[in-house]
Amino acid sequence: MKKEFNHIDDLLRDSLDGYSITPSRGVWHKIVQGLMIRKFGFYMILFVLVIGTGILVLLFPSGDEPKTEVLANSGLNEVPVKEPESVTLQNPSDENMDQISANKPVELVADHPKTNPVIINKENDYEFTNANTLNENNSSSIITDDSEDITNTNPPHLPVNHFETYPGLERLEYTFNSDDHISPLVHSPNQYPGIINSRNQFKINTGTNEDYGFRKSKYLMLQFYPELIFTREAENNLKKSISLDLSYVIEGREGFIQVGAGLGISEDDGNFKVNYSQYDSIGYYYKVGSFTIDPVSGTPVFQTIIEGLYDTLDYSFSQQSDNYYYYFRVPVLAGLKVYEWKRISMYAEAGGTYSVLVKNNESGINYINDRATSIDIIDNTPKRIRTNIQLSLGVGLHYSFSNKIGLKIDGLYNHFWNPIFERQYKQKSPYSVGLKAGLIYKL
Amino acid sequence: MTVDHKIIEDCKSGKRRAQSILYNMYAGVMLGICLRYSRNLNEAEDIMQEGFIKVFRYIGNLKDPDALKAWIKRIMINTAITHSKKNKIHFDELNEDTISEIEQEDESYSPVDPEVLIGLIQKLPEGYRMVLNLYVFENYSHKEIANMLNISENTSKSQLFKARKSIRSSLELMNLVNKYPVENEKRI
Repeated sequence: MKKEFNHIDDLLRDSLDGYSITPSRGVWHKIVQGLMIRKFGFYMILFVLVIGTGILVLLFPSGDEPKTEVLANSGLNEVPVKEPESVTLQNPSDENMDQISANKPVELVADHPKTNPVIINKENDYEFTNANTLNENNSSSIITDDSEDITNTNPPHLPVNHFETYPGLERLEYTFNSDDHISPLVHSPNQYPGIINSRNQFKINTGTNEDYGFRKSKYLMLQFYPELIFTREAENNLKKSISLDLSYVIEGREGFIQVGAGLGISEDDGNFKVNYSQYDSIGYYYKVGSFTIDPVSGTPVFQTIIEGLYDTLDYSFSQQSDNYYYYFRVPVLAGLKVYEWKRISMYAEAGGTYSVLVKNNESGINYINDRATSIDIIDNTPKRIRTNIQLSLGVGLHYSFSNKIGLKIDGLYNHFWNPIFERQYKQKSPYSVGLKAGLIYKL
Repeated sequence: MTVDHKIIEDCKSGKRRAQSILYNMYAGVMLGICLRYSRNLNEAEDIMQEGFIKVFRYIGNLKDPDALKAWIKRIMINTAITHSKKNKIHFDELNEDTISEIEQEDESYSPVDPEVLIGLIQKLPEGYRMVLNLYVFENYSHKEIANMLNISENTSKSQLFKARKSIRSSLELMNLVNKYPVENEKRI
């Protein structure tokens, strides 16, 4: 007899007590994600702070750079020197010449205090000019060059307080101090070897391009990049990807720019629905095979056998396969140095990666059933789009083992500009996190 | 179902494998509960997901491991209530005379598939559904429900009445309500 319920509450309670339903697979992944986000919340805040600081530093530099670009960058900047005291040999006497010959110091005497010498920067060639030149007889400058005829060369006395403004000039300070005793003439051993021996050396020693300008280093970098991609779908929302990138890096004092190329492999699940029909048992019944009459009671006694019932039934199930997708990647990344300590540099990084799907390996499935009367396999695997762009934010660590070899590790968050699947399958743009690690080699 | 205390201890240590085992043990039943509090499966899964995150975060506070299932259920229900409050439930008032008048009908109900009943509950307005769940399944009194949802007891009663009436009408359309008296029993 069917059970009946007197009250609707009883019906509800009795029917739904212990009611259970299998959740979709994506729920557990989301729970894991949620737990990780909470667990690593502190680090995420730190990450955002680092990125934010980096961006602020980038947008609002400290401003202690010289306002006038002098010597380092521009080709033809004229810079007035504040204290225009020219120095020259005054009427070189025989005594002077003797001193010179004997390699003894010759006293320089300041002359023409009101003149204004200027420093003219012609690309990498620096000249000190003054209206008052050396006497014809003393035209051999303390700066000599065998290959060039130099005239009108008269080094100025440079005030100390200009060196902060015009970095690089301090090297000239000692050499051109009028109070010093130097051996200015050619062929005499320089009293301050390594500072000025010739014009060519002078160019090098000014060092404005080498030491105080944008000092560039060039690297080749090979990086291995495992990545977790979250497609933000309810099911099967976690993909894995591995890439190998070779990059060319130009690094300056404040940051770097890198451009590269690489190959990425991404795995995904193929999803197939298999429908088939099969002649199958649907039950059984008792078939009367024979009967006898009971001699005592006179009633028939039936001998039965079990007979199976069969019909064509429709079955359906889902099956998955492993698919691999190969991408050609062009990563571009720029970084701003936010911290430096000994051999370690830390960067706030931003950039992007352009990916092109070059090959896919979708394995498909084979379903064989000899008893099936028909088999229909439907491929529900979402199709991937051909090109994609990722925008990246991250933090990078650079450790130098030596002047040539170093290690670079980048923790990157990537937002996909567009969905990785064709629009009819998925709508949301995924995101990914990954740790890019590799060796750098200084060129 | 009892849970190995080691699994709970491992969950307290944050071990993912133990969490996965615990989840697989209770996810089905908890989703069944969440379905009653939600409008559809997606919403139910969202509630359950949030609930399990709380379970794993606060499992260190669980004092009696034998009460684990009840504790998880409690968290799911609280999560569902919080989730519903975000939707700003509208509660209709109804006077008590109307309630008692209609409740006097005599009838019985044939068994119904759980899926059908879940569907009927999910179609109820948020306020009806919440009160029905708390009263019928969780056995809270109207006073307790009123406190939980910040409503009056009368409002709670009216929500319950309307919920029952709505489900009953649907069952009647499906010919699952027998119109003969079985036994008079009044409940409010």
